[in-house]
Amino acid sequence: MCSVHACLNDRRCVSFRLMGDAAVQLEVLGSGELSDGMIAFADHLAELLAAEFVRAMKEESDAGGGVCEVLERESA
Amino acid sequence: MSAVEEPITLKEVQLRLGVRQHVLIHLCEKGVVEPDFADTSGRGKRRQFSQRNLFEFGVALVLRRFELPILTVGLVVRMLRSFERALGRVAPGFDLFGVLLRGQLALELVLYEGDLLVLVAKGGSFKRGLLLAARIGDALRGGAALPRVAKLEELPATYDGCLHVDLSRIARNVLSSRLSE
Repeated sequence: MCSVHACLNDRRCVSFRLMGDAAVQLEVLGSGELSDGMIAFADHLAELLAAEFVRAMKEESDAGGGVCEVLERESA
Repeated sequence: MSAVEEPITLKEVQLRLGVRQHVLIHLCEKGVVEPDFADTSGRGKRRQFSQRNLFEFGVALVLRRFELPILTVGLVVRMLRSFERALGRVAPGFDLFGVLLRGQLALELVLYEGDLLVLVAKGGSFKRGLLLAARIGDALRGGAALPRVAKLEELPATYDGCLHVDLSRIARNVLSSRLSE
């Protein structure tokens, strides 16, 4: 007697479990798609980078124009 | 990108970038590039892309030339996509691609040993360049990592290997390209 369970974990890992006398768990890892966790990580990282980027541009602007002039012109 | 933008077909992307369609489709199917205008969700629907998508293809193709895992490519492209959008929110109206195309800012990515990612901004008033670094290795391994960004004074001097990606050059090459006859 044997049953098979398949499970998709976080869009990234497919687990097959054969339950019975000889329980086996097989995993097919790495579909290649980003998991929800990785997407959240990338988005959060991008927010942090953008905030630092704009902060640095404004600091440079206070110290004497340049890139922030571009920012101001683009934003106008 | 411009407010009113004509969608670009897969065929046009193929002609502009000089790669086979199956390579582009693979990047779409893996979620590396998400078409801004339309995606296939059934028979008869076509993918249509934006200028931003073209840039994403350009970056992804450069990274794939080094046989980087598709996950790493996907993470980097996703981060760049979100970065451009986040810049638009933090500084409304700021056109990152326009600035890159006009040469007003040079932007590069350096990936050290598949882990430390450094965003380098040069030009304009960035006299010494802006170096923003974050570790992405844990996230790529599926760990529950929280991103942390550090401002570096200089690029790391001690490392086994690194990959340097010139985002400005890719933007110029890809976004100013014309359809091949």
